[in-house]
Amino acid sequence: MIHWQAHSVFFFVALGGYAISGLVYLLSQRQVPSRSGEWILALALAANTAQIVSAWIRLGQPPFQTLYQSLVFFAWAVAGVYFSARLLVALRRGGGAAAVCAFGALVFALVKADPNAGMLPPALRSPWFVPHVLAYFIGYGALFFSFTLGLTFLASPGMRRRAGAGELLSLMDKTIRFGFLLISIGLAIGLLWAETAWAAYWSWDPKENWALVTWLVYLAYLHLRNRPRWQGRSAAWLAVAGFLAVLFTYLGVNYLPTIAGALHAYQ
Amino acid sequence: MSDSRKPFNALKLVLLEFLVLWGVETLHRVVAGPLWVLTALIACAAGIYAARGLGFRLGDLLTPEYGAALFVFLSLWIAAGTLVVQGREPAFYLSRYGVWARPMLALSLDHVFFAGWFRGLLALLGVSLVGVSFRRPSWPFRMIHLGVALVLMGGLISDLGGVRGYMKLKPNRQQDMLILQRQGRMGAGHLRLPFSLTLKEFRVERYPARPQLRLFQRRGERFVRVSSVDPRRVRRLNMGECALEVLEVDQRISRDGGRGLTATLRLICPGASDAKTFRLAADSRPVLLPGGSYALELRTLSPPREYASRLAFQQNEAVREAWVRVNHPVRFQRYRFFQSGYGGGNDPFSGITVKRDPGFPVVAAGLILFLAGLLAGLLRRRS
Repeated sequence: MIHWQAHSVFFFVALGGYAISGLVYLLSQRQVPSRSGEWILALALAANTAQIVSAWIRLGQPPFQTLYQSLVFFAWAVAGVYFSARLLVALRRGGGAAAVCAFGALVFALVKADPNAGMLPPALRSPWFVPHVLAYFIGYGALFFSFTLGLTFLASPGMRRRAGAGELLSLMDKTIRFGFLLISIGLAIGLLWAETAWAAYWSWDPKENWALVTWLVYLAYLHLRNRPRWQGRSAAWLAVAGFLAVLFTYLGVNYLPTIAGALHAYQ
Repeated sequence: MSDSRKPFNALKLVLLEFLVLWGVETLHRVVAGPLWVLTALIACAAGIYAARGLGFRLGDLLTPEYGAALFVFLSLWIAAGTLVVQGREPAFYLSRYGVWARPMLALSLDHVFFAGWFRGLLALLGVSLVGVSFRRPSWPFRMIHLGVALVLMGGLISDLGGVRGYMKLKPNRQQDMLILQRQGRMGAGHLRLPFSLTLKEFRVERYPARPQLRLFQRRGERFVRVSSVDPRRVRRLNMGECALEVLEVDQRISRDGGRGLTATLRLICPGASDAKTFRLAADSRPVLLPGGSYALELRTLSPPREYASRLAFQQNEAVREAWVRVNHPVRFQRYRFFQSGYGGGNDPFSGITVKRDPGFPVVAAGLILFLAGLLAGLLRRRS
């Protein structure tokens, strides 16, 4: 059930901005970044940022508690990582994918009630909370790009023979290494925090287990990426598999039969 | 052997290791006492012989392909462990999975993470990590691999030398008995602590109460919650063809449970001659709406923000007092005390988890080494 009144104006500006930006990117059909699509995406990111900051101020706590709040932050992370990558590694593609992904996350958030949750349980009231979430979601944002780059490589017939294939795979590799570093930091912070909050740095909880599965899949990629014959399609497949594991860790775990009574579960 | 096939050969090696470790564990269930050691040794020797026969050498444990194969194999088992409820009695699996239950139990799918073969594979990973770290003269590489090996070693030390348990402390009662928790199961015996604990004081700080309107929809025989909203912010709820409007919320909410909270609502349905206005009181039974498809409930939410116990630790004549809060454990001697829960009503208690874990410092050191290695590798690449 959608409660339109529960969402702030920033939410709708971001939602509309991501939708229009995605459309502009798709319609422009060019290899170079669409300038108007980019500006609209930047505007949507600004609105998304304003929404997170205003929620933080209004609730008096980081707005990362519920699935709704995390989806809003995930949209921000994907768009934010895109612009960071544009500046740092001259990413020339992925704007459309970022806009579509952020739009999808906000549409999913729209159907999730309780955007105004503001009562952190005692275990989440910890200095580890914000760095843990930041590391994971920015990591997820980076890994989303490795996924789209992997898909682009796999979906383009004859890509291996094209001049841009090497650049595409190199970019995919960079985003995976950056994302892996961040999810490793998130995992390490999670371990240290769990030891303080629950007296157990590892509880074999479904969410923890899937975070470990994700980490292991990317670890397998990092071990094979320099091996002969594992640098093209196989590497792209692993990048795709890795992000599917990310998605399952983030959203799919909530539907597991073992989630009842688990330590990590979104409200 | 072509290079492209190497990972699949490594997977074969991992599969062989799994079979040997699983065989040894199964023998442990069947054969008792010293005879098991002998049979286990024979099984290991047979495994090594088979590995050599398939062309594997000790150095194969140190290849990236072996690492990748082990990661994928472990991932599959970890994923399987999240699909099957863990740690129940065999009867539970027999009733739930029917003919599949026996093979599942034989493969330890009821306790994947505590199965001997799973731990054996983790131990092999540790050995591989240590061996690999001395193969390359690169410090970041060594730090990363030794870091993960330390984490695994810390886990082993926690498992073998650690104690974890729970105490239900009643006010002003001296207690020293710990209910032990092993392999994720509570009640695995008792341990008398070398000192006693007394709960001197317990405090709960709550969030200011806020109203919550919950809408339930009939699905067959039962009602399922379809919406929970704050009626002060969401003023309209759609229910099929009808809609519910929040006209007024009496916000005179007391901090101790919200008594007196009421909401005035209006139900609007197309075709009905007039809208039905009614008042809903908080924390009473759900109200069935006309038509019988929806039910409505008003609640006050005031969950705990923080809770803490003032504990007195006593050994002989010496007494030390300390506050234990969530996320702020207290150390006394070699034990650490964590605030884990509480109970109210007629049986008030403070739930304290007690832990002695010589492995955790090793795990923490391993994590720091691993992250430092990752960052060092990143910086070296940039330079």
